[in-house]
Amino acid sequence: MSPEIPVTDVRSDALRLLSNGVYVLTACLSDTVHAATVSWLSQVSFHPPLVMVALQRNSHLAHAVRKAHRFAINILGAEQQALAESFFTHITAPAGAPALAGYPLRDGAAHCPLITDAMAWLECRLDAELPSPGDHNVLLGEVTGAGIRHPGAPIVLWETPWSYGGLNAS
Amino acid sequence: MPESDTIKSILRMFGYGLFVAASASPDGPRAATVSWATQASFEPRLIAVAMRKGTAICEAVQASQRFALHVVGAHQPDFAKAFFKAPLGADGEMGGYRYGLSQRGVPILGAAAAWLECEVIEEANRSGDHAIFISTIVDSDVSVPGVEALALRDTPWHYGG
Repeated sequence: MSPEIPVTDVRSDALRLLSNGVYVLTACLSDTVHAATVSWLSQVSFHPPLVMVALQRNSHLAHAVRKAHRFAINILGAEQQALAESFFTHITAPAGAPALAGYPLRDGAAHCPLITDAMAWLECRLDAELPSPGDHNVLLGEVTGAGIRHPGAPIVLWETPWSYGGLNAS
Repeated sequence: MPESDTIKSILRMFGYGLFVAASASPDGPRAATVSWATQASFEPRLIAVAMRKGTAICEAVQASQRFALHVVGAHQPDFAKAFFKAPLGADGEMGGYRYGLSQRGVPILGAAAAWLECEVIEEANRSGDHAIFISTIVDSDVSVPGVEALALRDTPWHYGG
């Protein structure tokens, strides 16, 4: 965090008005599964169906997604804050592990680990990395698989005690 | 391949806000409601906004490389609705709302709960039907401190799937 910029910067206030969900992104690279909670994610095309996700640059998760060329978005229900919190720090496990941070896993058709407690999931093929100069890698994925386990209301970031936006994470 | 209806349902679970994007075109200011926007970096602060290729707002942003992203407040669904059809602005009025021009010539709608004035640094998404503008923030304001933004989920509308 740069001490020159006051945390009350109006741009932070405006940025935190962007509506974001809360998702657990998972990927499997060779013999390791990776997972972490993400929030900067949006659909960016209808045809083909493309989603964009921003991951901390040089993070283990970004590395795994860029190398594996595949990732899954696990969509959490409004009541699953504890699940989201379990993945605030990047979590790994050996490929084929039955669970991650205590949450059961199964392997998706495209070999992405799916958290079976999540209300829905999307599997994506990495389509491109956008030329963003920021501190996050901006990755585009084409949706190749999907499933809904139980319809309901997903978590919205601003209905939680957390924020991820503006000047820095808190 | 899963049923496309399943993908559509899931893509509509994503959390989005509602925004009015505005930009200067050679014919006059353009504005349109958008929802595919997210922050993309803390340092430097960047946002990524997707706009459907071929629309007036998208072409205005492509030409000027500048736009304003206005946050629609939770109490302002009519503000979002006024820009569904990308009205052309003239004489300081667009879609029934007053606008002024920033120092850089970007139309700013005074009614917005908050706004970010942005400068495009990268345009991407060759394979998709929307252009993605990765943009820096050059100015901003929150007109109502503590205002809550309108969530797409809390409206009768959807954009996704």
